[in-house]
Amino acid sequence: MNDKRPSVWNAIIRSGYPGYLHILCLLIFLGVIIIPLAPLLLSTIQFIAKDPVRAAGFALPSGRVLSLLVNSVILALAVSISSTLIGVLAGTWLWNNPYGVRGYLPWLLLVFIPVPSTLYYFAWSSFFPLTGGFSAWWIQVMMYLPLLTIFSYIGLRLVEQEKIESGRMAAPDMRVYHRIVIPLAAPLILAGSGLVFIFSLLDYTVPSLCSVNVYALEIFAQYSANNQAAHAFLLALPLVIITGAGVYFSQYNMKKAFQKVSWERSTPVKGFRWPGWLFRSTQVAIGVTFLGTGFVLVFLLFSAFAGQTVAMTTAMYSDIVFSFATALLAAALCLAPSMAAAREMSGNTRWSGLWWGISMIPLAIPAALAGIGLATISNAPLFEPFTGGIILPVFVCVFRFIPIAAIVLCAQLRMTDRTLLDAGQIFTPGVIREWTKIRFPLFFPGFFIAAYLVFAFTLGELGGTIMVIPPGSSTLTIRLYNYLHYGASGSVAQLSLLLAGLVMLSGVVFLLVLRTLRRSHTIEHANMRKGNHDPGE
Amino acid sequence: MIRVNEVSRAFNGHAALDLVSFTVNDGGAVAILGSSGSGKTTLLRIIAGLEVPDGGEVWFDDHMVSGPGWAEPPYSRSIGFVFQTPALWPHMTLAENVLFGMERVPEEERNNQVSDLFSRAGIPHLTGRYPDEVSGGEARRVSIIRALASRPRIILMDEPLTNLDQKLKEDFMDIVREIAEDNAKILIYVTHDKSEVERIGLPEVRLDHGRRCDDGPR
Amino acid sequence: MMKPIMAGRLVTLSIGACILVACICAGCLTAHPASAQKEVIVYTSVDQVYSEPVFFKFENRTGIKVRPVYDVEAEKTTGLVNRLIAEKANPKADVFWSGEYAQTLDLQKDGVLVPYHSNEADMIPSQYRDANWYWVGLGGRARVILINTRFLAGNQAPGSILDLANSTIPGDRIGIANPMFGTTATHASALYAYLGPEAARAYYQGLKDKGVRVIDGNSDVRELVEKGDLYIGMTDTDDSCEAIARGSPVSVILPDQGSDGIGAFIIPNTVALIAGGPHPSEGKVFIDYLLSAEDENDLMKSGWIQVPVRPDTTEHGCLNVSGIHGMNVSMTAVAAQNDQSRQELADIFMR
Repeated sequence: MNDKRPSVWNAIIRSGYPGYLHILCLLIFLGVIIIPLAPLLLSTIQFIAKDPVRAAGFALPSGRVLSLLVNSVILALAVSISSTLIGVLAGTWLWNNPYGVRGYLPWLLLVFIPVPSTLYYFAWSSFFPLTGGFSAWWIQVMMYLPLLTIFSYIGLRLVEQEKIESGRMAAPDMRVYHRIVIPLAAPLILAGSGLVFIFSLLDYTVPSLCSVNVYALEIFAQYSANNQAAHAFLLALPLVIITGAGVYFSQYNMKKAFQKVSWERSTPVKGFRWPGWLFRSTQVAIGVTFLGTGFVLVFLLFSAFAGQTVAMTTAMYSDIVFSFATALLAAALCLAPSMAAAREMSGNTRWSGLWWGISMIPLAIPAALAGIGLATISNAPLFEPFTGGIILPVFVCVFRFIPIAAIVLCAQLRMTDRTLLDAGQIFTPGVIREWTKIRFPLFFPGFFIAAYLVFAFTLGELGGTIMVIPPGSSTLTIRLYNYLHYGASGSVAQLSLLLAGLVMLSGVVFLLVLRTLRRSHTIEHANMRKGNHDPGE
Repeated sequence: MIRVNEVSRAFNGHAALDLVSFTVNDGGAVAILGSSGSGKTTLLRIIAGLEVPDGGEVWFDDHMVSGPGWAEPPYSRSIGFVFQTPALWPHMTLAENVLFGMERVPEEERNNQVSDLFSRAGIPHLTGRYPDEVSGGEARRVSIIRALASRPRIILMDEPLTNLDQKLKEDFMDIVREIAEDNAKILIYVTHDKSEVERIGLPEVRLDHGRRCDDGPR
Repeated sequence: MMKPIMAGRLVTLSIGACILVACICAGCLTAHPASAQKEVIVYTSVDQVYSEPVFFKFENRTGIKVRPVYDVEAEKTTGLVNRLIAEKANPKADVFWSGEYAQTLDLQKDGVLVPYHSNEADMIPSQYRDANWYWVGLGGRARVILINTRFLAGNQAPGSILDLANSTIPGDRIGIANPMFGTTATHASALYAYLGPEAARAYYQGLKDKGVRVIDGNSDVRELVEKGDLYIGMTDTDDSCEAIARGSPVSVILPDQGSDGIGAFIIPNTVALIAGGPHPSEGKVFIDYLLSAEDENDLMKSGWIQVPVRPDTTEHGCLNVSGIHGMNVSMTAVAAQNDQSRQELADIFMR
């Protein structure tokens, strides 16, 4: 017998997928995360080498700064826990009302993602004096409640119908709800809690408006005082470590949460009998959730029509187009690298936890620091061709929101039946055909949701964009914040409505695409029943 | 010929396969028998190219297709695979599921072959249906059709009779017997049920905790 | 014939692809690579609402296209200055136009600026420019006390900012913007320079002990005074004039104007040429325009500045500032107090 063992090189080439393409996308993913951070890390290392004692002083908070950190963590915990309790009840209401118009309500909650947090403050402060920790807590809960409601809703929806029904055979519905449904939904709910904790901890805008000092503001105060990125980075380290713990908590639960159930098979629950107090609690909770967003919407509408209409100048049209282009490009470019990372994250290897950690790094880095890193690196002659265009604003948004895309795609991978992918590998010639015919259709919902979320977040991004936006260009959000400072509440309201409208329009497109695909399936099915179908055509 | 030479594979420090070897000649068939956790599905997936062995080699004739830390892509191995679940793609009709793997079949023959296979399986009326519109037994038949339609040299079956009623089991065992008797194909059949092996009449390779525990030829 | 499901998918994907390509092209078009037309790149912390009309008028007058980069107060003015420093090795900007001067002095210290002696600057008093022409001041704002007249009569209002700590008005009805950022931070540095660090620190500690509210920014202070949540607020003249223009029940007090008063702190805008900028000639033309009498009149009329520095400015703002007694402290001396004042104010207010 001939013993034809391949050379190592041949073996690598012949291994094919997941070979070089996957590795390339992983390298791009790592590049996206490392490139903006590299100058910051370098300057920090230089500072540590030059003055280690002072560097330690920044990185290890004490005294006043330590108490700021503790207060910030307490506020973030309070926001996270409150949002979770209300969000679970609100998610339960949505889970119990999945049909008709009510079935679209979860998507409505996503619309307000890019609306500036300051508008929540101004909406509520129009009626109530808002100052102090309670006010900061209230505003943040109103801001993050929609996110937690969506997480709760999805967690509840993903509980398999058979598991619920087998429980309902054996016990009253209420017992099934709190002994079976909630525990099975808990991982995703807790993952959402972890994310809200992180967002709240890193937010300085709302606490600042409510005259509450938080650690995130201390970082900016330091940065503003001496413009030293290394000092700000070291100051941010405790925050990064704490948010890293929040990230670990979230990803640990998300890994547990992603069951192998397709969305279509997780049929909405029917006929659950609720005790009166729970029924009313869920109604109150969903009311509070929509109150938070509806209140802002009403405030915006009222302010928009009460104030002078903003003249749509050429510059404003340009802002809208630039914003839209940046958001679309960021959404599109996120997908391939985040899919590669998601594959590593969803694996059951000892490296998957490491990939989770790497993927979540951008969530813990303040936006302005990321922008400064990218602005610094763009000065190098190698990157000169990329300045002056749309690439850098897109890059900074990809850096900031790629973790969100990776999480969504990881969930999609976990929820996709592995044997379908294996069968695709067996029967498909070539990577490209396998992706276009098998993997992309199976992963389509995940791709679309990831792209939509990155799109929506990018539209509202400010801190990183302002560092790298090319001269002469601007985004709708930058213009909005400028008007906000100027005090043109009518103009701000109109621009905010425009921003929310763009997000809503995109959401409508997204839903129409999904429905088109499903309707095509139905037409095909109807044709088949009429005997019009020709197999193999 | 398929030669599996001292293949090993571990998951999270636990040895799923440990120095397993066996050979199947052209036209031959073998059943890999073992209880849950014995490593039989892992072994099948390594032969298919869906898993990469930590140690050992897999040869198809005189061509090495898997080695330590690498594996040639599954499609390049000319195999048909029947999974434990039907594994039919939900966005394609049953006919499209079958046609999809028929790249190696001349185009002019494909439609006829599909119609013929569906007829022989007793489900000619289902070609235009989608996987979620047919019963489990019907879906299982289509998964077998799909594995055969591409005219592969090697057929791998991973517990294909799981969750089938007795009548269907009998019908499928007849199909498997036919495949086993086809001198143009190699069949590797994985199961935990010894009675299936005896009913079909296949030589055994027995696995226990990842190791071979029978006295058959390596 | 193509199946409906395939046709539907193709149509959807085609539409999506077209939209994506269109937006990419539009985005690339709205970003501006180097072009043959003359242009000047201006980084400005002046509100877009005020600065944009200046740019439009300059473009019409000279034919030089202005490509601005704006800052936003939400980023606590860290944005633009840090961007300029980050770009020092390969500057993208030609001109820096700031609404105050602390940042400009920081940039001078970091070697980001280059001297330019504009003829238009000859009429500007020497206290409002750098001795070596690294930067020049133009009209600006003053720090004032804004009161809500529904709750306070004019005679109840303090005449000096130093009286705020001793006022009979409750502390939670008095507000200042965060002294870590912006003009409030510059004002604090000025008090450190004028009064001395000990006295200034004692003053701010007094405010803290009284329970004076620290609000996010000057415009927020203005809003709260307009609403009546605050009776007294310390803010800038431009914010105050906006409130007056809206007809809000407010009144502005120019503080410390008595013969023994410390004087109102005046914060001029500043403009500077960036070292190594891509269009230095055009940058100089823009600076000349910004420092001109015509432009200072325009800025007065728009409401961005209320205190002119040129003696030939004819336009009057919403406030009568003729004969205003300004705080006698040099901009350089103020800048020298930045580090100490911010550190100590952080200790006092950020806990």
